[in-house]
Amino acid sequence: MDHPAGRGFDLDDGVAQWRIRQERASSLSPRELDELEDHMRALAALELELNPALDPATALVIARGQIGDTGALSGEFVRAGSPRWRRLFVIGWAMFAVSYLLPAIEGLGYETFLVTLAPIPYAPHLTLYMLPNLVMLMTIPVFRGRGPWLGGGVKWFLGLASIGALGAGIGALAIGIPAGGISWALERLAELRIGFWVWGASLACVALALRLRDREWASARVRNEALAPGQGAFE
Amino acid sequence: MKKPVSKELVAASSRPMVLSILTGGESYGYQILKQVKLLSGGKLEWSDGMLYPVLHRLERDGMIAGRWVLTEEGRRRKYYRLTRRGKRQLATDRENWRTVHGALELSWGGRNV
Repeated sequence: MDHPAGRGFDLDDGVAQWRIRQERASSLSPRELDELEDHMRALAALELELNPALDPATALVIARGQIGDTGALSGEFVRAGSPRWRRLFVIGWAMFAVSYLLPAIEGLGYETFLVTLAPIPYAPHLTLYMLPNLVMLMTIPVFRGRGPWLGGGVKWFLGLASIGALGAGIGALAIGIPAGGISWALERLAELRIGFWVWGASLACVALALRLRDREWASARVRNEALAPGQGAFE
Repeated sequence: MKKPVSKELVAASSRPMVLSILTGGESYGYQILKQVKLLSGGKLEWSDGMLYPVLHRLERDGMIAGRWVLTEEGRRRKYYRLTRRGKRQLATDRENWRTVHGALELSWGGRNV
C-alpha cells in the first residue's frame, strides 16, 4: 500500500523506536521481534487503510495495543520453550563449572584445571588441557545472543577436544596404560576421576549446542523469494 | 450482544485451528489470525501477540515448520507450513472435537438451549 509522502517515514521511525525499546527492555530474541514487528506493521497499515484520515503515530499506537504487552509475551515465549541448543549450551557450561569442583585425577580436584590455565615450560603437554579451557571462554558471548569470539571454528575445536579427551580416557580404561607410560599425561589417564569425564562431556555439550545453534540460525536466514500475489500483508 | 468465546475454549482450540488453517498451504502470523477471525465471524477473539508463542510451541513440537522470507518491502517474514506430524495431530484433534461436538449435540437433543 502506498502512503502519502512522509507518512511512511513516521511509521518506520515509530517502529524502529519500538524495536530499540524492546531489544533493551524485553527478553525477546531478534527473530521473535522480527515476527512481532511484521505483524505490527500489517496492523498499522490496515488501520491507515480503513481510516485514511488517521495519522501514522495513532495507527501505530493502536497496532501496539493489539499486539499486547511484550513483557507478558516474553513469558509466553519462554513457556513455549527455549531452543534446544540453548538448553544444551547452559547444561554444558554448568557441567564445565561443576567439573572444577570435582576430583579430576587421583588426589587432585579443581587445581588440575586451574594449573592448566598457565602454560608450564617443563610440562608442555598440559597445553592440551589448557587450550580447551581457553576456547570455552570464547563462547561466553553466546549467553548474550552473540556468536563466539573467533567464530565458527570454536565449535569444531571443542568437538575435537572432547572426542580426544573422552576417547583417550575410554582407551586408557579399555586397554590400560603400559607400565612405564610414555608420558606423565598418559600415566594420569589411568587415574581419571569423575571431574575429568564431566569436563570432557561439557566440551561435547557446548560444541553440539553451537552446531545446533548454527543450524537453527541458518534456517532463520531469509530467502529472497518473490511472494505470490495476495501473500503480502499490505495488499 | 453475544459474549465472546471464553479464553479457555479459545486456548484449547488454538492448535487444531492453526493446523487446520495451514492445511490450505503455508502462511504467516498476520494472515493466520485474519483467517481465524474470518472463519469464526469474529467470535473467536485471539490476542494478536499471543498467536506467536502458539506457533513457536507447535514448531518446537514438530507439527509445523517455519522458514524466513524477504518480503517485497525488504523485511523478514516467517512462513509456517504443516508437517507430517502436524497432519497426524490434526486428524486426532478433529476426531476428538467431533466426539465432543457430537455428544453435546445429542445431549441438547437438537434443542436450541
